[in-house]
Amino acid sequence: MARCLLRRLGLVLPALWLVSVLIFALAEIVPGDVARTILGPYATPDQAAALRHQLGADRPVPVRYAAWLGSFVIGRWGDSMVLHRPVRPFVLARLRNSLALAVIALVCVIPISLGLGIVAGLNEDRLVDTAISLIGLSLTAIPEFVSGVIVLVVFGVQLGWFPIIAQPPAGAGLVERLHDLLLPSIPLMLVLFGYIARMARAGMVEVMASDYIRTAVLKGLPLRYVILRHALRNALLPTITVIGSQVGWLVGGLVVVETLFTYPGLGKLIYDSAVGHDVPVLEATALLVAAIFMLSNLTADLLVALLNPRIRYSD
Amino acid sequence: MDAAPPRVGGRPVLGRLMRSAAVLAGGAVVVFWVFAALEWRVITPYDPFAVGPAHPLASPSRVHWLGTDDLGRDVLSRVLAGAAPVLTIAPAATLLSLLGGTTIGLVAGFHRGLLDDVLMRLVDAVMSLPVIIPATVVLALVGRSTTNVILAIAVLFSPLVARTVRSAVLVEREREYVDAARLRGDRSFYIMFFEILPNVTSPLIVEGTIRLGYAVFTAGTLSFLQLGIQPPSPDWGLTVAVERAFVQIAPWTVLAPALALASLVIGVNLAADGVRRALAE
Repeated sequence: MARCLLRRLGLVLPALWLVSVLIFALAEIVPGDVARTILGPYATPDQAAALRHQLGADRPVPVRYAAWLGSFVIGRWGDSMVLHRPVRPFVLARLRNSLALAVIALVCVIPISLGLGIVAGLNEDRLVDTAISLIGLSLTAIPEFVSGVIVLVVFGVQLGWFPIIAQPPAGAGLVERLHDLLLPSIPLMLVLFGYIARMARAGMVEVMASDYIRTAVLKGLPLRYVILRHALRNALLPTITVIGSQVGWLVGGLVVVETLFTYPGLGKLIYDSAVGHDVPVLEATALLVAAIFMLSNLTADLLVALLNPRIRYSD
Repeated sequence: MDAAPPRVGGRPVLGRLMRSAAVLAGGAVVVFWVFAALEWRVITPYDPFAVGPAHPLASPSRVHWLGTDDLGRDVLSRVLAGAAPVLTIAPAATLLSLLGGTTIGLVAGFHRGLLDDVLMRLVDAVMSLPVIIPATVVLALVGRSTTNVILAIAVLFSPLVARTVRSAVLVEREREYVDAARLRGDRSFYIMFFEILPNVTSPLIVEGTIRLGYAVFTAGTLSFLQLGIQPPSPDWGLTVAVERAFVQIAPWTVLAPALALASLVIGVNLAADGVRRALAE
C-alpha cells in the first residue's frame, strides 16, 4: 500500500512538469504577444520590441523556460506581465476564493446526492427511482452557465435574495461570504448531483442483489440494520472514487461560474491569463489546478483503500 | 436465482412508463430544434440580425413575443436561429471524435502490443482532464474560431470513444469469424474495418449519442466563454455572455437562450438514454 502510494505520488511531479512544458510551448508557437496585450494595437513596433526586451520576452524559448522553471521550483513565481504584481500572493488569494466556493458546493451536494442515490437504489425501477434518475440525468446535462443564469434571474433579479455579482468586501464576515457564494455554488452542485447520485444508486442496486445481503435479510436482521451496517460500506466505494474525480471536474465549472458571477477565483484567472498571454500567471494557475486535480484523485483512491481491506492488504 | 432487493410494495410499471414518456419527449424536443436549425430562415418572425434602434430591451409583448435585446433585435427570432451554430458544432465534433476514436480503438484493440499500451496511457491521460480547462487554455492561446472549437472537442473526446471501441474489439478479435478471415489471408486493414467494425456498431452508436450530449454541453460552454463563434451570431451561449450585462433590466434576453440550450441538452440526453436502453435489451 505504502509502495503503491509512493509510486502514485512519484508520477505527479513528471505529469506537472509535462503540463508546464505544454503550456509554455503553446504560449510560444501562437501569434499572440504579451507586449501587444499590454500596449494595445496603437503601439509602434519599436515600442513593442523595447517592452519585450524589458520583460525578457525576446530571449530564446528554452532559455526562458529554464529560467522560469528554475525560479518557480524555489518558490519565486515571478511577476504578472500584465498586472505588474508578484504572481504568488495574488494566485494564492484567488485559490482561497475558489476553494471557498468549491467547499460550499461539495458540503451541500455530497450528502444530498448520496442520500437520494441510495433511496433510488433501494427502490430500483419504481417511480421514486425513475424520478430521481431522470432528474439527475437532466440536471447533470445542463451546462453550468445555463443553470447559473436561470438561478441568477430567479433568485438574484426577480426575488432579489442574493447579489448578482459575487464579490464579498475584504472584511466580510462568514455569513456575508456564504450569502454571496450560495448562488454561484448552485450550478456546480447541479452538475455534480447527477453523477454522484447515479454512482450511489448503481452501487446500492448491485450490493442489494448480492448473496450476503440476502443472507442477512433471510436470517431476520432488520432492514435498516442490513442497509446501514452491511450494504452501505460496499455500495459507496465506487462513489467515493467518482467524487474524487469530480473535484477535478469542478474546476472546469469554476471557470464558467466565476465568469458568470464575476467572482475573483482561480477559474476566472486561468481564463484571463490565457486570453491575455500572461504566461507566468497562466503557468502558476494551471499547475495549481493540475496539482489539485491529481491530488484529489489520489485522495479518493486512498479513502477507498482505507474503507476496503481487500485493497488495503494487497500490494 | 437472483436475490431481488426486498420490496415493500408497488410495481415498477409506473416507473417504466415514465421513462418511455421521457424518451419520447426528449426526442421530440431534439427534432424541434433540428427543424429550427435547418429552417430558421422560414420560421423566424423577424430577421434575427436586423437591429431595431427604436425599441432596445423591450419586454415581451404581442409584437415581440420574447422581447428584444440591447440592439433591438427580436429575441424569439434569435433563439430559433441560435439552434443552428450549436447543432452544427456539436454533431461535427461528435462525428470527428467517432472517426478518430474508432480508428484508434480498432488499431489498438486489434494489434495490441506496445502500440496498444502507449495509446491507452495517452487515453488515460486525456480522459482524466477536466475538458473545459485544456479547451479554454488552447483556444485562448491558439485562436478563437468555430473550426478550432470543433477540433478541440473532437480531440478531447476521441480517446473516450477509442476506449469503448477497443474494449468491444478485444472481445470480437477472439471470435471464430476473425480466425476464419485470418486463415483466408485477409489483410488486417480489411479484417478491422470490414469484419470487426460492423460487429461493434451498437456500442459505437451508444457512445455516439452520449458524446453528442457532452458535445452540446461543451460547445455551449465554450461559446459562453466567447472562445468560439463571435458576435453577431445568435448562438445561445454567446448570447448569454453578451446580454449578461442587461440581466437586471432585461432578464428575457439571457433567459430565452439559456432555456433553449437547457431543453436541447436534456432532450439529447433523454433520447440517448432511450437508445442505450433499447440497444441493451
